[in-house]
Amino acid sequence: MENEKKMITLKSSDDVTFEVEEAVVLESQFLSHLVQDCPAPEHKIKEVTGKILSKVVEYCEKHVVVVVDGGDSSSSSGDDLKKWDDKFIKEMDLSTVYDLIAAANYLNIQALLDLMCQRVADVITACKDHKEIRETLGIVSDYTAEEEAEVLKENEWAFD
Amino acid sequence: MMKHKEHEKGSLEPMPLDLKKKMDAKSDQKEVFCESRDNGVGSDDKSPGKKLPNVLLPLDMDVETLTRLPGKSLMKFLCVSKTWYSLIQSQRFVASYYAKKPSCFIVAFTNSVCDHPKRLFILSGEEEEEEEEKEEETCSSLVANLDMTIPSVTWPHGGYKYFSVHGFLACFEGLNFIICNPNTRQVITFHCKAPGTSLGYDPVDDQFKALTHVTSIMIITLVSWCTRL
Repeated sequence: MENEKKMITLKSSDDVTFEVEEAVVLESQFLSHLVQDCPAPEHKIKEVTGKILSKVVEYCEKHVVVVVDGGDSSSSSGDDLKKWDDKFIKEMDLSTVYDLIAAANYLNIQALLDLMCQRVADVITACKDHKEIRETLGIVSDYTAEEEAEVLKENEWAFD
Repeated sequence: MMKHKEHEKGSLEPMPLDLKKKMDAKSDQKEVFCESRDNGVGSDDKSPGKKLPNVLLPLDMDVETLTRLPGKSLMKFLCVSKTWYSLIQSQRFVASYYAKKPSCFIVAFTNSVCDHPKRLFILSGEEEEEEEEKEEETCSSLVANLDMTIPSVTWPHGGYKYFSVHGFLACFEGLNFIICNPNTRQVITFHCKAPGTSLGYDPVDDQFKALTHVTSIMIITLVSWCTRL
């Protein structure tokens, strides 16, 4: 076939390589600029590990809109995509979510960043009080007991 | 309620949310270094099963995440740490919080009978898409949440006496000017020398101001909706 897809190789910080179609790479604004400016067949992404990059690639491959000849779109329909997103985030632990947020921010993939931040927001919302958040997110409180009591009192209504 | 002001002035401002812009600007370079995490993105050095010790997001990512929380949760989580407190209370956070939220409508009504104030009810709900604040006529299909009730306050008759500015509600009761913020459930009462007080927003300084018309105009400045005054 004439119009064969251009493939690009991405290499993670720990030298795991991923061969992906150019369209997949274009999901990331950062990578699309990189590919335009530097048309090398392989790009090393020093800041992202193989484990996280595989997730990013998985996400982008699912979300990429590939229009093949004849105008048939092989991208997933909206509902399916949402279900896939739900499944995608459900099987992830928080530390992976954090790493993906950092990676999505670095690679500038807004949809992935939104999805991941929403996931953390959902986790936070599900916490019944501030103590549970600290425990879940590993935050160390810097309030003294008095200060904490005061802030708690001021915002008592929110704990209804 | 004034006592917090000093603490807030010295408070931490969150990092700007323009990291993405910086990325765009930098992307001409072949190698871009990203310092978003101390231990590098995707490091696998966390021991499994442990409760994520000190896994903290960079502050701007905290902002990204927290702007997705409902207002009530935000108020609840002021107690998590001082960093979160100053983050949530900062004007910059408030601005990005509202930039993300769909516009909402506020309805206030009172159950006073014959000018005997009983209780003021404030409800709010989210609009689908339209920007402008609407009241009762389109509410039938929308769900409104009861945000707060204020005892012994009534909505005076006569349209000129109450105000709704950027989510604040204000009304005039005798010589008291009452401002409430349904998001934080704060109620502030000013004693005014004259009945002609109104609430306004000054976009130049990004401040809310209460103006009293005495002989000359007296202006009281309110810092932002979230700060405790």
